[in-house]
Amino acid sequence: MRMSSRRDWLKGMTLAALGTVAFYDLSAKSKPTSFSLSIAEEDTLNRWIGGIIPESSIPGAVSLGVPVFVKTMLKDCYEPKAQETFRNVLGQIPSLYKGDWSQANGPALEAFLFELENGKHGADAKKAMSTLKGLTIQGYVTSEYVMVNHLNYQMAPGFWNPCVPVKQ
Amino acid sequence: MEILNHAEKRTYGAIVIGSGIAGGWAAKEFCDKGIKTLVLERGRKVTHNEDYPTTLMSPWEFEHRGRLTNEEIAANPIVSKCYAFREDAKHFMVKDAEHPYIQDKPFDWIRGYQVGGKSLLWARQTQRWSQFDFDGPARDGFATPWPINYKDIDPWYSYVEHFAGISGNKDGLDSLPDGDFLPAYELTCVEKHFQTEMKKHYKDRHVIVARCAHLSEPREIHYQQGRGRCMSRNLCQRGCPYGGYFSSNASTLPWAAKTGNMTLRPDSIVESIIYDEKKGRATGVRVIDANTNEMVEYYAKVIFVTAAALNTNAVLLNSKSHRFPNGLGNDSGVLGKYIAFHNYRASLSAEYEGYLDTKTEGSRPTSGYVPRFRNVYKQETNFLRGYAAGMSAGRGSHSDQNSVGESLKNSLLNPKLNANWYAGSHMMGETIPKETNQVRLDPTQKDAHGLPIMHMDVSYDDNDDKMVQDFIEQFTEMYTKAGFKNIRTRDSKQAPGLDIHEMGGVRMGADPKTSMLNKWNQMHAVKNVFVTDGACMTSTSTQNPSLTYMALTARAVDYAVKEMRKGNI
Repeated sequence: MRMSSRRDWLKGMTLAALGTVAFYDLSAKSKPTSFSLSIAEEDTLNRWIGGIIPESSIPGAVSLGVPVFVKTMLKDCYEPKAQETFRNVLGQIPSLYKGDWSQANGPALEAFLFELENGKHGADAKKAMSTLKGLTIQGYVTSEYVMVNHLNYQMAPGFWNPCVPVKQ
Repeated sequence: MEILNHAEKRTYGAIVIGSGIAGGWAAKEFCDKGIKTLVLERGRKVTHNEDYPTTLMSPWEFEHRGRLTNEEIAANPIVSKCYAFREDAKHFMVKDAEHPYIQDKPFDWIRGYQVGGKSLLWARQTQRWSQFDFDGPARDGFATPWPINYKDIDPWYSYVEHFAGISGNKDGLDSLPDGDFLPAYELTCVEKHFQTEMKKHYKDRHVIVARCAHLSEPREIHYQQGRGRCMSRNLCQRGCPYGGYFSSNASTLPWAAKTGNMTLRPDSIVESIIYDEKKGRATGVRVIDANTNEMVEYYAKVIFVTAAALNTNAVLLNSKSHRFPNGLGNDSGVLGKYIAFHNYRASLSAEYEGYLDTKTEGSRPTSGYVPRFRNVYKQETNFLRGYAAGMSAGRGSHSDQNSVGESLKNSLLNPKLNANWYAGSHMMGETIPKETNQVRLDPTQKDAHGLPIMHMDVSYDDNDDKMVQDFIEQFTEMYTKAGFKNIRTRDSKQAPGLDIHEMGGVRMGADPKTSMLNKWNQMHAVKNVFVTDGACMTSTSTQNPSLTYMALTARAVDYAVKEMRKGNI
């Protein structure tokens, strides 16, 4: 282990201890961490993710940073063929949508997402929707905001109740 | 270079090869007894807490939320099969390219090369052996008889349990003796239901909470180690900031260091043990510096080989001399042979449609356990020996993910309890050590440090297949009788090795013609060399083995120091 990376680890430890969100790379190599997309593709991806888990009084997937997670996962954890299929579908999304994609939201966007899910726009689009929905849900429910404020995240519960009544 | 030329500066009372569970105990015991001890670890330095980079990280701080990248999986087809090789603990596990070996038959060798070894990563289950387990080879006619009985190790189990901190109930079972326990974690209501049903339907099938090396309620001895109560994080593989579970790093090594008697040398790969033919004893070890490949020799009166089972075999096989052309102490020819492991292939899942007004809260670091019930008192099946099993039942939650938009969001933010309780079991089967299951060194191929590459020639046999079948049949029957539904069974067919319980090759036995070590884990042929890790195991029984290595190690050091003081070694 190189010393520089050890220092990064310690720095990361300190930030983590202070409760700051700190991403650091344990493999100690510098590498791009994003699925690189054009500006138009980024916009499409954000609108798509925003349709799956939208904003309201409770933050949605985009404001909780899920698009960065999605791109990281697509780049690092999916095969090149799956990445290519996803990118192709991403490029087609604005034209598959009946209406102005740049304004898509609400029930119309939800209806379109159901169509994608149900295979109305072809097998590739169905697969891409399934991939993106899975990653969006994963990124959302593992975000700091959701885990701490809604899912009662406790890193160190320190107790065990093996059998308690379910509160009605 | 000056220091290299001064043999006296490189001379110790004891040398301990390896700093995992067994090595850590050897270090502690020697240092407590006032012996200057050199601990050699082939991996890097990992200091408790200082070198646990992920221990305080929350899920959202992991770039891939725990998952491995495609690149990592492609580069590590072996270690990536291990449940613990994930984003949070992969830095504590040996990557496939780092120390290659040859699989004559499929064998997944999972290793942890760092100070503390696999004690950082272990599953922390600590069940004692019983006399029935030590009787196995003699009664059933396999391997060679154990040279020790339960009564020989019983006080040493208590000794290590007291220091390590083992939680559990006194269950009063002759097949799984009680020990010196901290308070137990409780079974869930559905686990208790299973326990009650088993009592109702069978005479000899017990369900207990598994004993584990967690400080449920620390004692003074644990505070003295700087350890605190287990907070049930279940993130143990990252290293525990509280020292809530036992590891060399949190417990034995800092304790040994405090005595002032320990010298810990990381990045030190033992090439071989030096045997002096005139003196008729081992005089030291040859060490390769992992960073520079420079060779250094260290000397001691006594040498403990606790490098992890298969690496202990490799060190001894590579320690050749005129007197021992086939490896140190290998007059019998059994070195590297009779390798065995635990059969973890079969598992079962099921649902229980009761106790629906209850759930669990918080977390615990262990689960239920079903001690071996097959062939305990006499041979009664078409296979030898038997299996223990894990058993756990919990009430999880889920979110309906069929919608999109606000409705999906609401569902995700408000998970619902699962309709039923889910339960599961997995087998932990004894395998029969056989001469044909062996490891050997390749005569020509070398690794990056110039050491011979090891061949693994280890496989299952018919006895293992029959045992898998029996586990599936018996546990299906047991869950059915207890009223569980939707019972599903699985044979993973995983290769040997993935159980991470490889044992043998340097077995104990009373007869020097058929074994390497005597009843004190001392080499028959080289009295100042001891082996107390998994390599020493004559048979495997079903229990997770680390507690037994701890007890054997403490017992062997006690004997070795007495022999040193008598001038016998």
